[in-house]
Amino acid sequence: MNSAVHRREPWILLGLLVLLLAGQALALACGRYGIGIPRLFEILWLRLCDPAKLVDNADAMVLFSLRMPRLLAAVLVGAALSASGAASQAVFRNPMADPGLLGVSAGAACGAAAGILWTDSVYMIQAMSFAGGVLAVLCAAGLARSVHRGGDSTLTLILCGIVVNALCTALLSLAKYGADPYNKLPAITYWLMGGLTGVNGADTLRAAWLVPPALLVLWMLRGPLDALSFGEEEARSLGVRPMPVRLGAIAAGTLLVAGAVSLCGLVGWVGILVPHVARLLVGPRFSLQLPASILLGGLYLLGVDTLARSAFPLEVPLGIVTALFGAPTFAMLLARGRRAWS
Amino acid sequence: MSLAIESLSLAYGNRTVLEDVTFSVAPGEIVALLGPNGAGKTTLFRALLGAHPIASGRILLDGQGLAALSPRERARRMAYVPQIHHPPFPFPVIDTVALGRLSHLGVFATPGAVERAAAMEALVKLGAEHLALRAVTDLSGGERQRVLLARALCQGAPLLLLDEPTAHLDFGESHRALETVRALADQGHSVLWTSHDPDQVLRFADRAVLLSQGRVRASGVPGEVLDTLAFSEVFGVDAAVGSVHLEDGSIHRRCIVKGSR
Repeated sequence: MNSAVHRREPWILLGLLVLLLAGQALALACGRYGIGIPRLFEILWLRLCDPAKLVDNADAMVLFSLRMPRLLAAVLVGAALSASGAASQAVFRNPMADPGLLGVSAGAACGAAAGILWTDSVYMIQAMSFAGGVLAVLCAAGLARSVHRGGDSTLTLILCGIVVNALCTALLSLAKYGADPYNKLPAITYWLMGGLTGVNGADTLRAAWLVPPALLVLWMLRGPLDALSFGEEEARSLGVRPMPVRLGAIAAGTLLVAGAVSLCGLVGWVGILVPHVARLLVGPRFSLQLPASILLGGLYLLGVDTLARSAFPLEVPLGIVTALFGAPTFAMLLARGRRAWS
Repeated sequence: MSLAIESLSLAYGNRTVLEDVTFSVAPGEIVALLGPNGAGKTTLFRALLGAHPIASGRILLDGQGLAALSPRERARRMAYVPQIHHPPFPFPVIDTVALGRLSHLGVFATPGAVERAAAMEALVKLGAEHLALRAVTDLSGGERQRVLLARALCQGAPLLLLDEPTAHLDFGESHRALETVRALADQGHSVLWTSHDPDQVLRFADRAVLLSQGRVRASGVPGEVLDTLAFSEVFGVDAAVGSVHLEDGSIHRRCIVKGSR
């Protein structure tokens, strides 16, 4: 009887991994500049065995300097947002919790807007966006610490997150209002719509180095997070200190989202939808839900980005497609009988 | 494991919620904590769980100060069964019970096959093995209570804290849950139990402690505590303990409310 538990889940994870790899091959071959699967593998083979033949090859150029960085960025952003969403749903014990609850996305948007106003350097904008996201969460946490007077600390944290979110939104509006309407304002607006257009290898790597350590932290906290999702007192009684676990998960989640947003702008609905679907597939245990969210998130954003850049006559910003896709999917999940929460 | 609470005082800021409380729980004993809402029972439990600071006095587990124990060491000695609530995620029962082993594992570990086997053992002990693969969110109140008891058992802690274990349970479920608790105490567990039901206390507890406005008003054998003037005063009723003689010849002690004060 015991062996019947969790026999299915590893296979689901394996299936998702295979799908992600296949999706990557497909995404590399797809696009308005058609390469095709056979030609893709031919180029990859040449790259390994005889790179000299690929000098000045247009297909190879498109593949290695445009599509690969973008593919990597899409998978990373999807994985980061989904993992962070899974973590915040466990920390806040709420299946509706969004990774931006404490203001990280709004803060990062604010930082990016400020960066766009002050400079044209992509590097600086990315750095300011990242700093803005982290700063917003620090503000929310600091505020929660100073106003907390006993009682439900999670609720205090959420309320402080709402305050910080509101402030960041106001500051963002201020930045837009003050921006030069002919070049800066459109730049801010496009940035806010979210997208991976023009992402290059260097940008991606700058955001990417954070992802493995943050995911590792979340993985290490998988047991305590399961306990914490039953409530603070039960977690304590099971020998778990709620505060360090919460802080660790929030810090890791914040770094993931700040990195993702600084790379590609606001891409909504991933962090709430993907952990949901992951929970439907493998159940709520964090040790299964986290890897499922990572794989599914990478797959989802890869698919959406490929769609965004190749299905329409004009490239549609990623944030719009994720919302157009995510919201109805979420509604569909709500309507379904079997639920990932109760 | 024996629990001793010595001259314990607890406060929220300047407001004292528990003052100079002293009582103990011996191995194999069920001690019921009675008192109206706001008497300080919940705060006392929070202090036992390490979630509320001790203003003065001591909590001792087998003579060892609670404050000196790490949360994990405490969890290996003391298990907590919360009031029934609705968990937000549909954890399988077997994994819920296996979480009881967390304090025996490394800090960054999660229960695996060995812990699930231990969980199964605990479920079998409580006659709940048929629930193993169900989701905790799909269970009835009594079933969920049984699962939480199984988790406490799986935790391997000799002291059990039960916070109103029969709240939200129906008549039959309540009785069966307390029978299970009684059986666990008879096997050597120490049990501290908060209750709002005097009859259940008369039937299942070895001793009762009456708490009101943060102080111990009476303590001792349940039949005597419930018969005191203090008990009637605290609850604002005119109560007495009497015997009910049934036609089959059995005699049962019951707390009778004759009227309100």
